[in-house]
Order: sequence, then C-alpha cells, then structure tokens
Amino acid sequence: MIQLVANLLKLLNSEAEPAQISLALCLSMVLGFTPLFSLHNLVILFAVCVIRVNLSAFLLGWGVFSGMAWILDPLFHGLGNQVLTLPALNGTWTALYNISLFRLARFNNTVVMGSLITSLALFVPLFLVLNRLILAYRDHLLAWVDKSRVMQFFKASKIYAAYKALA
Amino acid sequence: MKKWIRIKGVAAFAVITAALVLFFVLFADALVKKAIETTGTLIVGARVELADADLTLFPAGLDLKGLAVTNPDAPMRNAMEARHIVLTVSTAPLFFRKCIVPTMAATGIRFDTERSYSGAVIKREKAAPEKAEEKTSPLSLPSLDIKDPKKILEQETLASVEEAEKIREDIKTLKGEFKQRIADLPDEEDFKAYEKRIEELTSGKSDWTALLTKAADIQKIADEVEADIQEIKSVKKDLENEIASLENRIKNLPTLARADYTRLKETYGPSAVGAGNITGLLFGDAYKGKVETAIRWYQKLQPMLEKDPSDKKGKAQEEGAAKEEKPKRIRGRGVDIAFAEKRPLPEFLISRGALSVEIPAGTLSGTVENVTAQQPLVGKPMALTLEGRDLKGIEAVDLTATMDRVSPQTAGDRFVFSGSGIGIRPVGSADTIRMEGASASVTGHADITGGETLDAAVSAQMTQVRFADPTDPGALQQALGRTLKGVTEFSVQGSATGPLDSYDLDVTSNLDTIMKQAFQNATKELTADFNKELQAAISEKTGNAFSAADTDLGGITALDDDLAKKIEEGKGLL
Repeated sequence: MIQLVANLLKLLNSEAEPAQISLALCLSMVLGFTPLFSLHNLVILFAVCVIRVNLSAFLLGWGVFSGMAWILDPLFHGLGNQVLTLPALNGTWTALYNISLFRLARFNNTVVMGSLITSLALFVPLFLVLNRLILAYRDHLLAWVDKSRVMQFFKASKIYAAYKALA
Repeated sequence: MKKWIRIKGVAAFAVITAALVLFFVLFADALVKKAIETTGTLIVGARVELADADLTLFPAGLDLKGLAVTNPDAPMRNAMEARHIVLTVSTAPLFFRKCIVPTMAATGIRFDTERSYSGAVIKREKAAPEKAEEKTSPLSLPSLDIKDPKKILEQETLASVEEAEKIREDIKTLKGEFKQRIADLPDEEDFKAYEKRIEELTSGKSDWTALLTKAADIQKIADEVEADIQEIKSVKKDLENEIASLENRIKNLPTLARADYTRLKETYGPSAVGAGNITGLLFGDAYKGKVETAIRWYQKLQPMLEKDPSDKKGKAQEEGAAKEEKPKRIRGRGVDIAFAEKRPLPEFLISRGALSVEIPAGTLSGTVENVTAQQPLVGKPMALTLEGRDLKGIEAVDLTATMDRVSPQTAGDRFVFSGSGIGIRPVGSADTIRMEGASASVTGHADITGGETLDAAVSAQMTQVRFADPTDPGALQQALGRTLKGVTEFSVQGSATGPLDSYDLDVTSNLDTIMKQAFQNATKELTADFNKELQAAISEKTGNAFSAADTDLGGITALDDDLAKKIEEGKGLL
C-alpha cells in the first residue's frame, strides 16, 4: 500500500502526461464499479494494455473504485432495474437479449447494467476533472505542499523513503 | 500516436487472456465438481459428493463419476448413488446460459446405500419422540387368556346380586316401617275393651228408655270398630302393594342374572373379534412405510419440477427492497431480468437419458425424458420408464412415471407399476402367525393431482404361500396353524387416498375371511366350557342372594297375616 501511494505521489510529481493518469483512473472506475467477470471488462483490459495509460494509477484506482462499488451496489441495482424495465426500451433489450454476445455480457443483470451506465456516464466528466486537478496540483500546490510542515513531517516517514527509492 | 499506443500491450493482453483460458481449462473440472456438490447440497439438504468430473469442450460434454447423494433423513446412508453419468451438452444454447442435454447415460444407479461417514450438513434437531399410537404395532392375535369365572366374579359387580341386596334392604326398612304402623293400630286389648263395653250394655236395665240408649251406644261402638277395621285394612292394602312390588323385583332377579352372564361372557369370553385384520397386521406397516418414503421423496422433487416463470429469486429481492429490509450485500449480484425469447428454451433440460438402476435383485434398465423445471417451454411432461426381467427372485417388473407440469390445468403425476413372480420375504412373528414366503403378482398406480391429493391403489395376488407351523402349543394357535397350512394363495388390496400429509390407508385381503373363520372354529369349544363355568359361578353367587331376599320377604308376609287376623277379630265384634 505504501508502495502504491508512493507511486501515485511520484506520478503526480513526475513529468507524466496528466491525461494518461486520468484515463487510467477512468478505466479503473469501469473495472472497479462493474462486476469483475463481465465480458466488457475484457475490452477495458485490452484498452489498458494497448493505450499508454499509467498502470500504477490504474491499479490504485481499481482498488479504490472496487471498494466504492461495495457500498454503491444497491444504487447500481436500483438504477439497472429502472433502465431494464423502462417500457420504451423494452424492444431494444428484447432484441439484445436474443443475441448471444449480449447474453454473455449479462447486460440484463441489474447490477451490471446500473454500474456500467454509471461508470460510462462519469467517464468523460471524471477524465476532464482529474486532468484539471492534476495540472492545478502541479502548478499551484506542489511548491507549497513541498514546504509545508505536514510535508516536512511526511518526508521523515517511511512512505517518503519508499518514494525516494523509486525516484 | 506512438505516445498513446503501446504495441507491446497487444501481446500483454494476449498473454493475460491466454492465462485466463489456461486457468479455466486447468481448473474447469474442479470448478464443475465444486458447483455440482454445492448446488446439490443446497437442494437436497444433505451432502452431495462427486468423485470426479471431467469437462470436455469439443464436443461439449460432462463426464461424472461417483455421484453420491446423502439421504437427509438418514445421514449415514445415501439416498442415491450413480457410478457413472455421461452427458452431452448443446454448445449454442450455452451462450444463452442454457444447459441443454440431448443425451445422457447413467449407469450403476443404486438407492439406499451405506455411507462410511455422515453426510449431514447441519446438526438436525433431535426428532420428537414418536407418539405411542404411531409406533409400529407388533403382530398380535385376539387374546385367548381365559380367566377363572370365580376370579372374574370377585372383580366384577353383578347387577342381579346388587338388586337382591337392595331388595333385602328395602324389606328391612319396610318391615320396620310397617311394624310401627301396626303397633299404632287397634290391638287385641282394644277389641277386648269393645267386648267389655258391649257386655256392659247387654246387662242391666231393659226398659224402653234404657234399650234405646243402649242401642245408640252399641251403634257408636260398631262405628268405632268399623273405623278401626278400615284403618287396619288401609295398612294391609299398603303392605300388600309393597309385597307385590317386592315380589315383582324378586321375580326379575333371574333376568338380571342372565344379563350379567351375557355381559361377562362377551367381556371375558374367547372371541374372534380382531381376527379380521390379519392382513393389516402382516402387511400394513410395510405398505405404510413405502407410501411414506415415496411421498417424502416426491415432495423433495417438487421444487425441481416446477420453476416459477416470474423468477422467484428476483421477486423476493424486490419484495425485500419494498419492505426496506436490509439486503445481504453480495458484491456483483443483482437480478437477471428476463425478456421474451425468439426460441424459448428451458434453463436446464435433459431431453433423453438412458438409465441403469442396480437393485439387490439385479439391474433395471430404462429411460427418462424431458427432465426440466420448465415443462411449459418444452411442451412435454417428464417421463420415466424402468423395466427388469429375470431378476433374482423377480420374474418381471415395470414402472412408468409421468410428471406433467405442462399446463396448470392438466398438471398431475401418474405412477404405474406392475411386477410378477416377486418373492415375498418372511413376515410376521413365529409366536403368532408367520408367512415364510410367497410369490406375488402386483399391479398398482398412484395419481397425484395438484401436487397434494393422492389416489393410490395396489393389488397383489399371492401364490405359493407358505405359513410357518406355530411354535405356541396353545389350542388356538395349533388350530390356526392347521387352517393356514391349507392356504396356498390369497389376494391383498391396498389403497391410500386423500391429502399427502393426512391420507387414509386401507389394506384388505381375503385372508382376513379365512382367518376369521379359523378363529371362530377354534374358539367355539373354549367358549362353551367358559360359558358353562361362568353360568355356574353366577348361579352360585346370585342363588344365595336371591334365597335371602325370598326369606326376608317371608318375614314381611307374616305381618300381612297378622293384619288379616286383626281384621277378622274386628269383624267378629260386629
């Protein structure tokens, strides 16, 4: 865990593209929110492998979003149930239900549908917000944080030692 | 572009995917084995074990070895075992999460086998002690323990003797009462006083005036005497009425004695009552046991035959949410919403299976078709046939079962079975009646409508019947033994009708009639002796009481004579 936090700090402070970090976190959100053994997660895995996103950020984000999903599952179930039982969409769902690929994807499961819709809806806004936050951190906070008493105290900690070892 | 694309990542993805596939291939057998054991255990309520599972992908199929299903009611026994089950699975429906088994072959199926360790999954509550009436009743014959009539009379109260004693009491009371009343009546002295007064009147002056006065006095005395006589007559009449009543009661005593005799004869005398249900005693428990076992397993199979199309699991979760119950949080679960399918298929279906069932007598072979919990989607009921020929101790046996859940209107289950040349194992007790063996031809059926109303009937024709010689030297047992020796065949009819949880069981046979006649003949002689002794004992006991009552009545009749004498004395004065 210490290693992972150190990695994140290193990333934030490094010259890595903010978009690579943000995209990694957004992809991890999809993986973390939706049930792991879902077909669409193969697409996410492929994306993580092929697109040059930061893997440390992805792994850290996966852990965090999985934990959040544990709490948010009832909400996902409710949302998925609402969407899947909408009369207007019944024709679409019925058509998809008769296609084996979609049946394997378990789209008709309330939690799969709810969590996928949530993560897809949050994907772009979260990407943009995270980009801004990382840039803001580097521009305005990095120097101030570096000099702060908390950071001084932190620099004396094991986490910082790990960070330095990686740097 | 290179800044964003990681070409080596494609290889990494391929490696990860291959690793996942390899993991599945390597551990698929273990996963399938675990899934079958876990799901089976949940359904049965006792441990379901599998020795080995082999999943084949091309063509898709499953090879199961050593399936053992524990009997939840007896965890040290397996309800069913199957040595080898081979299934082929249709590939295309698997993508739609449907398991369609076009063919299946199950061999080495055995029932009620022993386990080396308990297959219980939860500690069962100790079963409540059986009610006394539910216990298996041992085979018993009508009682032939004939008591000594004298001892019977010591324990029993005779209504005739009680009445005789009451009569004596009444005589005693009446005697006292009438003695008192007689004492109050005019006696000899009073009549002498009248005589004296008359004598005084007849002597002395005899002039006209005196004569007139005397005549008036004599008339007065005559009136007084007449009044006294009437008073005596009234008492006499009362006494005579009482005596008549007592005489009637004494006359009725022999009738009461006869009633006592009849009652005691019926209570203690040897009787053939109870001999008419020998078949029930011989076969009733076995028949009931088999019906109970069949019903228990039928009820266990019920949920597997009928899946609620509205998806009960999902419904239950919805209801739970509506009631604001805290749902059990299981990551990633949810509810699968079902939509209309173009070509609806059941979630699980065995289209046709070949069965080989091993019973102690040999092997039964048969087929099973349309095994699914969603029969409306298949449009055909589940059908099972089993047959066996030239088995050990059984010439032929056939069983067909149809479990129809295609439409709620026609839902019903029918089981038809027949067998011939079935060797019947010894039943009964050597002390009473024991059938050493027989050969039976059995036909029967059981219909269950709506999953809850049973209508079953079985008919068995027993031939080559052999009854054991009785070990009891008693007259009755020996007589029965002689009768049963002549019985070489009989028929048994059984039926079970009514709700599954409280059906009426009935077992009858023409053996009952034979047995009843044998009992009646055997008890005839014993009854005659007993009756004679009982009658003598009753006569002895009642005779004393009756004669005492008669003697006492003589005492009270003497009072009547006294009163007659008084009346005569009174009349003599007039």
